[in-house]
Amino acid sequence: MEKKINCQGFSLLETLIVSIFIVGILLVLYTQYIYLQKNHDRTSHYNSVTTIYNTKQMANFLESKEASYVIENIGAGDTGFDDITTCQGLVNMDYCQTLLEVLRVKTVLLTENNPSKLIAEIRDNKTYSENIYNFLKQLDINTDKKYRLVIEYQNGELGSLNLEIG
Amino acid sequence: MNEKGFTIVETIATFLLVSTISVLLFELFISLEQMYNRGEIQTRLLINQSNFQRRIEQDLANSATVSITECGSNCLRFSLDGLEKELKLEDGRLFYDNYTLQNVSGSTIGEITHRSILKSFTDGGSATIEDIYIPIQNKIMKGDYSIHIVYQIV
Repeated sequence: MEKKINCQGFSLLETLIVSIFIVGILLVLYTQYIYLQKNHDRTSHYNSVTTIYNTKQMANFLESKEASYVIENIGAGDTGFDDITTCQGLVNMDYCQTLLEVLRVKTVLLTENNPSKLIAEIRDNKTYSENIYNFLKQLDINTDKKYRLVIEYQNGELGSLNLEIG
Repeated sequence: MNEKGFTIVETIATFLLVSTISVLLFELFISLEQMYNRGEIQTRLLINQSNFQRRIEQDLANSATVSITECGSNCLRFSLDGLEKELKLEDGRLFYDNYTLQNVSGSTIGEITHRSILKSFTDGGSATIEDIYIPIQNKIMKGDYSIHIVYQIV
């Protein structure tokens, strides 16, 4: 018995459906790739070696000279965080301002170890940059330390360390 | 058997679709290649920066007595518990003691700048803030890969 062979090939409709499907997959892949690249660029600015060492310098200063300020303003405060970028209220204000100028700092924040109140403040009032907001959300807060120092540098890098206070 | 072949509309539609998919695939391939190259350069820049900075920072942290003095143009001498080590820039290459910053293509290293700032505390004590900055830029990768060391000598 002679076997019938389909020699007609694909119809235009079939070709269109398959092509649209492939283009759709490529578009999804491309948007995912763009998202990954942006994510990578952003996280490469978090807690680099330079940032950690420089954040440690500020932490050393606060731990040795301004421990009482940290305890009074973070431990008892309702806001759960404090902006010390201007060093206002610190006992060694002049020293602090010089240190921050040398460190090329943009923003310095003191917060409870869990920065949830600060995150809520930024989310609701846009007080600080989205850069800080994204950084705070990915911090590891599984520690028994009470206080946290968060610094945004002028070059866009961010660093955070727990303070050995309390 | 249908022996008429493709109509002109079918041919044009297929040609357009194949062209679009080819362009998209090519764009994706180029982007992935760029991402790989950029990622490699960025990783090398960050590793070099980290290794170099960590060596100096660890020496500073492990020394009880530290002093930093200039030893000519683009040269700093670290005195660490009596042991001397030099940080210097020579012929576009950066050295610290016997360690050399690995070269990454497209990178340029700027001049070493150093400041010593003596400041007093309200309790009567004082500290010197040492500020060492070495700008490092890369043509391909935008970003700051500079070495910036801040150290407080109390």
